[in-house]
Amino acid sequence: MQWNPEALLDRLGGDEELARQMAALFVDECPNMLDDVRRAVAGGSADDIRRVAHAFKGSVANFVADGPAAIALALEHAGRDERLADAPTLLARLEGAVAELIPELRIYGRGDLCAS
Amino acid sequence: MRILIADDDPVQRHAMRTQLGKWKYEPLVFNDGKQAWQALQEPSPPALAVFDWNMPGMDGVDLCREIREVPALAGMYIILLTSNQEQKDKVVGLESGADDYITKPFHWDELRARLRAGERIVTLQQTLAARVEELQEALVNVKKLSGLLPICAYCKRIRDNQDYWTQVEKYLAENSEAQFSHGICPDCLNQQLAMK
Repeated sequence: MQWNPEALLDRLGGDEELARQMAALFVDECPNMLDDVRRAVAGGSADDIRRVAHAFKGSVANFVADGPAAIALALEHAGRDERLADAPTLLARLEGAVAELIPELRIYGRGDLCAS
Repeated sequence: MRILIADDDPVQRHAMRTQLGKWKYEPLVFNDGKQAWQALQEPSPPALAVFDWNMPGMDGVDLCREIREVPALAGMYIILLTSNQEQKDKVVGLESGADDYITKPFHWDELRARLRAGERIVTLQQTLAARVEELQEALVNVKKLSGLLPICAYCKRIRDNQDYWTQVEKYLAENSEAQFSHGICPDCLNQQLAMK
């Protein structure tokens, strides 16, 4: 997966320094947010799943419109509609998509992307 | 101008703090609605606010509803942020007391433009409130002059609130915007000339 910062930069009016800071911050915070999602799925509360999946979607949507953002939205809807049986599968898909995105964001956050 | 921010997303908070600072605003940033609500209990709270809808504890919609219950915060201009995109969500957000609504992820120029619109409204409201206060003070003076004034039937002095008899022109000068220029009327002029 090759992440492209174009959409983020466009929304930020071209502020590359801020875009890199946001990427680095998301890389730092993502494990905690993903842990919240794991705990909610393990706890089996549909409302908790809806809430934390929504929060995760809002944060990751700063960087991507599909992939992990779309899966988090599907998980949010599973919580909203009380389809708890769907949650573990969606969580596994979310973890996989995030695992692909994070290395790209880490490189961008360090400012290495232009050099590569 | 100070702007109150409440958002549980650390990435969004950082971006908000950076961008608002760049735009010469003074952001007061909180992690959730409860902290923002506590900040609003302090004297002179900010008149402009950006709240995320979904936050643990007290969310943005709850915050809007609480704020609209407080007369002192009635003039506060609130922009609600959310990734909810359904039409009914927008209606719920605005009916909770928000003045404006932006769907995430948004273009930051759009937020800037909406903040400017909010700032114009807040400034206009503050100007109007100051004008109303001035008019109320003026009305008090008008009422003073419209009451029953005790006046001496002979020397025409007026008794003031301190029970002191004062000249008509002095009394009016102190209790109105009127100013006096002294002259002599034709009758008095004739009387004075006849006396000489």
